[in-house]
Amino acid sequence: MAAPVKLARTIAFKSAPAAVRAALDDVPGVVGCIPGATVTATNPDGSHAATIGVHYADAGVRFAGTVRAASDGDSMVVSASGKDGPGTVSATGAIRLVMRADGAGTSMDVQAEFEFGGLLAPIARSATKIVGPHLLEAFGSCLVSKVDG
Amino acid sequence: MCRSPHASRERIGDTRVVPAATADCLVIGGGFAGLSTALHLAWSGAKVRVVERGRVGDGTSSRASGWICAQLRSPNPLLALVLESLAYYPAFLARLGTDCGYAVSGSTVAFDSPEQLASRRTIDAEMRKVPAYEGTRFLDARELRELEPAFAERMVGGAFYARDAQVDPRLLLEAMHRAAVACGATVHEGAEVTELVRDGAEWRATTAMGDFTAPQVVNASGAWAGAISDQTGFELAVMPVSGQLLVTRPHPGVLRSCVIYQPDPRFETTLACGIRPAVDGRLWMGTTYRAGTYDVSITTADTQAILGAVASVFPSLVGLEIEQAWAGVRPVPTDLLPVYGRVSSIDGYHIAVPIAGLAEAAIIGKVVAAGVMGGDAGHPEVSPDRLLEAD
Repeated sequence: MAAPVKLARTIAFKSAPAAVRAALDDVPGVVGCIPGATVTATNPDGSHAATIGVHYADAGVRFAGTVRAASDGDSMVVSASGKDGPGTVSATGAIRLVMRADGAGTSMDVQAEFEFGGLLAPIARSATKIVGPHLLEAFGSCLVSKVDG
Repeated sequence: MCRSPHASRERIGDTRVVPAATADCLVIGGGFAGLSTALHLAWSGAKVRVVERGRVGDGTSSRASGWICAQLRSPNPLLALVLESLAYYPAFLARLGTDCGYAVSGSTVAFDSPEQLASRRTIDAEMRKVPAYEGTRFLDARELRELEPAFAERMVGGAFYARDAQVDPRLLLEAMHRAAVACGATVHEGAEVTELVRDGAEWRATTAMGDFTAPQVVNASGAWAGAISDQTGFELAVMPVSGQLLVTRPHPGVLRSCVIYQPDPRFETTLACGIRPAVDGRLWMGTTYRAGTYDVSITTADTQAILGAVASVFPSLVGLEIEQAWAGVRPVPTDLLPVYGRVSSIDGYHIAVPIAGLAEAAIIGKVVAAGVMGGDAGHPEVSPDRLLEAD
């Protein structure tokens, strides 16, 4: 089977870890920082229903699925799974955020890992490798904007 | 043509489980690429089995437009392959023992602005650097009208490439299928591969009809090739692009050549309007372009898009009665080049995924089979190894 797609980035905040941590508690806000992603509902078990649209070349895929967030001290894992409408591709992914104090501010390591299944899985992997770094950059910029203002 | 006493053709509905069916080579996919590969292997004396999940040609090949067209290509390795295929087609068909409606009718492209025409001249000059491409004959407005009076008055000129040809895709499929079986290949229809694993020195493909084993396997499953390749560990990103065609009742004589209007001079975007005048007089009109989907439904939107384009480009053809409509899914590897040949990092794994399936139908099997038989397949520019990621 094909290897998962892995992406990594470090985000620097001027704010202290406590302020960053407080921002991360707003899961819909965190998810909303991923370009094209939206939390559409909060489920009774605390998970969230969400959608994300990804465009690659002339093709567009819109995933609908479930997002869960779990935190442990200075780390947080946002995991998600979903599939597109016609069922030609399914995805599971996790974004691990690990914070540490960096002077007066915070440094956050972001590690994302995605696995895809279905007929369009190779296309989804290819697209994620190409657009993923840009999405992660936009995600980081959005979080910094939320936290540092 | 050859006749083999071992010729056999399994059919859909025949649910017998084949007990450990072996072969020298297993070809996954019974479209143009798979059948061409099976034919060339059988002609070389190899024992071949083809496994097709539906009926032969169901996925894409039976829905092709019938053009064997070099003029609409870009100056890249695909152009070289199509030219090689054009040159090989007559001998290939002769070996099949039937002409399948083959005709060297040429193709004519029209332009409605001097800028389009100038841009196409520049690209044609690039294409002439590809061996065997002699260049198109550019036409002024009067010459275009003399050649193809059906084009709209606004067209300022055109380009005619005499070597482009056409063939009936369904007749070709049937002929390739028949010839492959006659030469000893076994074609199993209704045998969808659900698992493909390397088991010692052999590949084992699991299907509802049973397991098939062979030391060599060719992935010729077109727009579905990526999912099959995933099971081997080789990353093959192939975008499915669906598109629709309309076919009229016979109207012989309204067009001499395959005709097209395309606002993008590099032909890299939506095909605006193309018509193939088939040998039987029917006009095959298309095509639309829906990327990222396997949906082959006939839609009102696509039908209107084709008819609207025809009305704009060929006003005299408005109102022709449409007899048939269908849609198919083309395979488009993400670097816009076909994938032919052996994967050097995986024992016995070969790929045969075209882009212009019908245009490549003759050559793809010749190239891929040469690699399977241990020869030099050539064409490294379209080899799967180009897709390997740098460490």
